[in-house]
Amino acid sequence: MTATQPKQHDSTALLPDAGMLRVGPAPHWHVMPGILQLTASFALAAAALAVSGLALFGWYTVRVLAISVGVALLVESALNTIKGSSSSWSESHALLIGLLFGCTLPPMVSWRVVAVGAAVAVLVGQTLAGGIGNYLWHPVALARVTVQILFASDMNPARWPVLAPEHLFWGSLDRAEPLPALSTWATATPSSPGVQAWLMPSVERLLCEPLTATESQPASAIAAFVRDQAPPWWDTLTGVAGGAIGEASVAAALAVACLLAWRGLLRWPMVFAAIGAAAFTACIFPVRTHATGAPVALCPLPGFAFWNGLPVGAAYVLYQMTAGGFPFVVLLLASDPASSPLASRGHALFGAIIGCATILLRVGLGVPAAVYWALLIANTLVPAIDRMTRRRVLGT
Amino acid sequence: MPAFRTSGPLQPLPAPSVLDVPLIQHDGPAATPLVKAGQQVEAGQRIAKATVPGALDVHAPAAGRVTGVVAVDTAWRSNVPAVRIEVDIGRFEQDVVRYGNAGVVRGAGDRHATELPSVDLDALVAAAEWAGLIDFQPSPTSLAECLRQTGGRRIAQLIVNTLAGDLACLPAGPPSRQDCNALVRAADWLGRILAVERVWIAVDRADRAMVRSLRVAARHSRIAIAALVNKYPQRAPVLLAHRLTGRATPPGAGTLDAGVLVLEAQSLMQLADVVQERQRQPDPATSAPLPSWLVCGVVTVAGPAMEKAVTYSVPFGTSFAHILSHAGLKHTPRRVIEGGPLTGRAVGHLDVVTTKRTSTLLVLDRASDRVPVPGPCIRCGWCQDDCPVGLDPRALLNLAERADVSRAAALYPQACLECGVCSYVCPAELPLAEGVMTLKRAVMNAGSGNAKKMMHHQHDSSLTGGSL
Repeated sequence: MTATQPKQHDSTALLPDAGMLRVGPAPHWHVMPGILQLTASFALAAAALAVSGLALFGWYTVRVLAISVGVALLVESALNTIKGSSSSWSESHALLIGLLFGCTLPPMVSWRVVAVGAAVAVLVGQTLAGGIGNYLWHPVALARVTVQILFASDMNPARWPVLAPEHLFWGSLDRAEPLPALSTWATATPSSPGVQAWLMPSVERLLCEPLTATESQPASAIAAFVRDQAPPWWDTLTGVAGGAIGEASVAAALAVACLLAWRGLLRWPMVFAAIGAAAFTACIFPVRTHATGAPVALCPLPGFAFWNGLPVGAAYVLYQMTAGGFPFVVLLLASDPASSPLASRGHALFGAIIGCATILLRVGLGVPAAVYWALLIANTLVPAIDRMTRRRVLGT
Repeated sequence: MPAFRTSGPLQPLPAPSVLDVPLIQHDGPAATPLVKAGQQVEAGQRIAKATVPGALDVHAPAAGRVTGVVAVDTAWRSNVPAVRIEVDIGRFEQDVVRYGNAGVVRGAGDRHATELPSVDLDALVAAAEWAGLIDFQPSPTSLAECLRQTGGRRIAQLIVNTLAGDLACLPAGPPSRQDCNALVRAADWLGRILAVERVWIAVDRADRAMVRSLRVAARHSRIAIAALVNKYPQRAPVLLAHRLTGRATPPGAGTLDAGVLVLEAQSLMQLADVVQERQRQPDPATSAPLPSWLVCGVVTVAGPAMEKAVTYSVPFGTSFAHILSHAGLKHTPRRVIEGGPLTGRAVGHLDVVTTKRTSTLLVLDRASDRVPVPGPCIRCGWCQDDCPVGLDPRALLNLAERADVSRAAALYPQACLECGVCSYVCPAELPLAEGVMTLKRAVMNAGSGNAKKMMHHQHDSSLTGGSL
């Protein structure tokens, strides 16, 4: 034999006693992330966004998130008591739902709004809808549109408070004043001492309404929006343009996307399809404009608008992509496995529906929180998408 | 999943005092014993004969005295009749020397340096039958039966598979150039006998040395070398046939129905070996050196409970306890699996014996053995996305739980390759593979009218966690 002389072992003493071997069906090895790890990854992502909210809005963030998470856990616990079941951490979704829902709210919103929304998310969105894996609509999106309808004035402010540069983390939003004209968040000077925050114009609200034209050409409305009304686009990236707690900072959302991508949880086809569809729709869907004393006019192909040689249309599209929590929803909520299509081929269609519907609802119908409505529409279509994208079994 | 790469050459296993040689070593019926209690047998002597179609001849792995026919457990079947041989320890060492290199593809080059004899299909079948050869594609069945089935069909393409399977254990080092030459020659030889239009050798793209050697060897032949990404379970015959020839196999059928014969390289080399030996000597069992694959298998023992991964040449019928007691355990085994981590079978005791299908023992200790705790399905869709044939395991599991065989048929569970990927990727740790396999068998048996009964039986047995 070609074998070498082996070193012989005698491991007889280590052999198990009779009946000590464990049997069970294959596979015998599980190293993929379990539900607990998946939930923890999403919760970590939401927590990262909450930190960005803490920086921008101070202790109001803690207040909103504490109420949201507390109510969500309380409702889940009460439901478990009623059902007579004990929920393990791996099955508890309420912490994640509470965190995510808190991230969708304005920082100074009333505690009632938070409590009602969190309760709706867990009770109606998750439990009554069949529990984990069975609900059709994302519980957070459902709760968000519910509070949007019930508390419209609270949820759709004309201006968002953001802590001033020197008061990040520790300042108070109570001491806010409107941003002076022709100033930016970084350069504004308070008119009186004690001001710790600025009230920034809501980009989403501006985009929901007809844009104000300064001249006879509709393109001037887009130029006026970009130049005079909206904060610098860079501010929407960093989050100092204001917004909901987890939605304000697009940069934080992108960082969270990297975290999810690293964990293998980001659905790339959906993300690219959503961004692409939103950009395309924003480029071609006409924008309503109005000038003083003139009827509402349409600006066709707004994405290709130029004003004085400047591509104001491209800037307008960028605002559409970052306003109203679009990155937050696409990167975090739409990736929820339970309410999105099963097959990866369906994810692209799902994302495209979200992207298109967001712009159509926002620009065409002026619906606030359009991206949440778009997500619910896409959720509704998931069974149909699943049927359309079902793989053909090999050999059939 | 960690891979346990074996280090060093093949190790001989110290002689076991007793061998319980199973008369069923594959998926098929038992052979009929030819020996009686008290009879002396020689290594390689035929001790059981295949008397029904699909059965395999069995040869004595070592010289010794037969003490009778007993019932033993193999990893895949309980209460298998087996011939018990008290091994003549003194003779065993000599016989081990006679076996020669147990490597089949690796090390085969020396045995196939010359041209292979031109024979017909009947001679191939007879040779495979005589040697009790099995093929592992897709399950271990009689190679003679497989070849016989090609007789009445038009086989257009032959695929010789060298891809490693569901193994956490990888061989050490690539095969030699002579081995590759021998493999190409054997593939060409079989292709000519079967009159196929095209012959493929599927090889792992990552094994660059082997790809290069095979390409050089096949330079002037009609053999096509297909360097594939060996993403599990690419080696499944249905997938190989579809990937290389574009022919889709109907659910539940074999690749022969699609006109493609997929053969393990190991089986091909054994077949070439036995045909060549039979030309030289009518009864190769009496020749020296004895073909090692006739009496012993190559078994890799690996896993977290082992000091290191080792590959042994193990006589058929050796108990797992004997192997493990010499293999260098680091911790007390908690789970012993014959086969790989995704499709292997966990055994309930160590008196289980090796068969021709035993190639790997994966040994888990208490720390590495975790019992899955099924949770609620979160509709992640990973099972559906990763199913190599496009099944919907989640829907099939729901139907399996309701024993709804009639609706399951529309989802083609019979196309399941039993690769276990769906259960492996499931974050909820649901027993998806189990459910699909249960339905597969029920659908395939639906004609017999006992599908529903079978579903309940299998569901109950799955709850008890296995048969052994």
